Amino acid sequence: MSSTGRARELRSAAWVAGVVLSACAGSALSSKTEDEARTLVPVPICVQRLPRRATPGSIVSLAAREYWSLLLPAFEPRASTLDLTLPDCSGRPTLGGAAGTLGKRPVNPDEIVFGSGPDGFKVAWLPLAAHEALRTGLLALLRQRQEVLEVYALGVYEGSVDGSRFSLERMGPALVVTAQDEHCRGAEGDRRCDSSCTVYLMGNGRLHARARFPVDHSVDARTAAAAGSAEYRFSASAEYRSDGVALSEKLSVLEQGRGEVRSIDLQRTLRLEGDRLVPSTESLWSQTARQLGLPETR
Amino acid sequence: MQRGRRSPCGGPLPRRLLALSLLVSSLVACAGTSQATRNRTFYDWSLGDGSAAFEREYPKLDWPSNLAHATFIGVSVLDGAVRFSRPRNWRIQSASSRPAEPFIHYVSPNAYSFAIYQRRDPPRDGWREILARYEADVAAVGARIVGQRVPMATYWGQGRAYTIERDVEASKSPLQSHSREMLIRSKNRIVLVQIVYQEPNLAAVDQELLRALETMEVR
Repeated sequence: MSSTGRARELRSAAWVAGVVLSACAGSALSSKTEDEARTLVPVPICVQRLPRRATPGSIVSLAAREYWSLLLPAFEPRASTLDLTLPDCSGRPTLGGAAGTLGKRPVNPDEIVFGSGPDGFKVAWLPLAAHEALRTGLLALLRQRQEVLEVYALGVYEGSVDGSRFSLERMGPALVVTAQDEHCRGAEGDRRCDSSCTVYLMGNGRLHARARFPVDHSVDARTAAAAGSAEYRFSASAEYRSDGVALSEKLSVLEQGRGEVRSIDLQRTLRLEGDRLVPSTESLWSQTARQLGLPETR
Repeated sequence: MQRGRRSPCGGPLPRRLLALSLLVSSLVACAGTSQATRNRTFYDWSLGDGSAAFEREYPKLDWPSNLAHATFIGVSVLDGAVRFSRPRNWRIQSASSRPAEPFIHYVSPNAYSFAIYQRRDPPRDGWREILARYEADVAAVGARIVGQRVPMATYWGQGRAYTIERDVEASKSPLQSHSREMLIRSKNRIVLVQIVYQEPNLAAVDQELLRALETMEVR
């Protein structure tokens, strides 16, 4: 091969290498990393590393007191106290700052009420210790991942430890936390329960109580010092839709020996308007309680 | 011809080898980048100590500057390529020093995330090419552009803003993420600033985001 031929060979090899290198170094093809952040919804307001690693294929089982530590860094496990003047895991004032002036409060770290939802979401309520039946505490929407606990929104809920139940609903693309507080009396056949539901909407990492509606109520007008001589039973069911909550209410009037003598049905809605839930009309139970002269229920 | 016959151990072979090695090394170099790009664990940092590796203080942008505990802190990220003033309460969710595509991703207690990604676009390319590549990236992952190419500027850098929606698979029906995404360019680089939120809009946090963008210098 002539020296000219060799030079040509070398030049063409260098040209190919140059093309490959420049295509590689200058490649404008993105790895689209930015899409990962788009899928991170709800956006967590705090992400806490779990206290220990899970074995592959399993998930760490957290003890109740570990939730206290993760959600409320001001929780002192040894003393079982919570310093309300210090912030929650998101860095904002604990319990919205409302209880901040109370300083340290005792807590029972084994007391947490959970509600579960789809896709691994959980609702957790951490009540402060108190002598009263009604307790106040931190309400959290969270999800446990392989190595971290993601917290999406925090709020405040007041209710009873035994009677509170939490769940997660969907209102179109939005997540909605519901809290039902139930108080029962009587035994077996005479057992009667009163319960109401609070609907929390998420906004900027906070859980805002935006509506409260009665779910079950019962009153015997003869024994409740009310105006009337029958038993009134009320029940409601809720359907969560993208535009709000559709409520089906039923009120039955029962007289001794005659059974149900009257019943009324009402379909009403809590319409989602911005960050509010606007009732279409007053609840059947509120109207009835007012007519019977009953004290206003929570 | 004689030299040609001697080729297995003569002069022409080293030259061929040299040519071949040029090709091979270029391909290997390319493959190496690609491997590293995919190897997220290698580059990524999240949640641990080490934010100093991805974010340095830049006190000139602290605000208010007369307070010891300023509400906004000036920071320098992407190895000094971007400086801006961010709310103190943001936390670093993840970051990477991956070659040609470093990024930093923050979360706010106000339930939005803020990320800055360096793009691979050659800085000399025109807006048309840069925007077309980005729009193709958005479409490729199934996201939707609902607002596009709105001219904007930061303290040092000019850009085009987009509004993006993306469905995220969930059991009952998809969750929806909204994001405001801005391609911002300087003479030397193109970055993507991305704000992801789930609220209908960003009105409640306008002020803190406005300051972050107003002060942003893309070097």
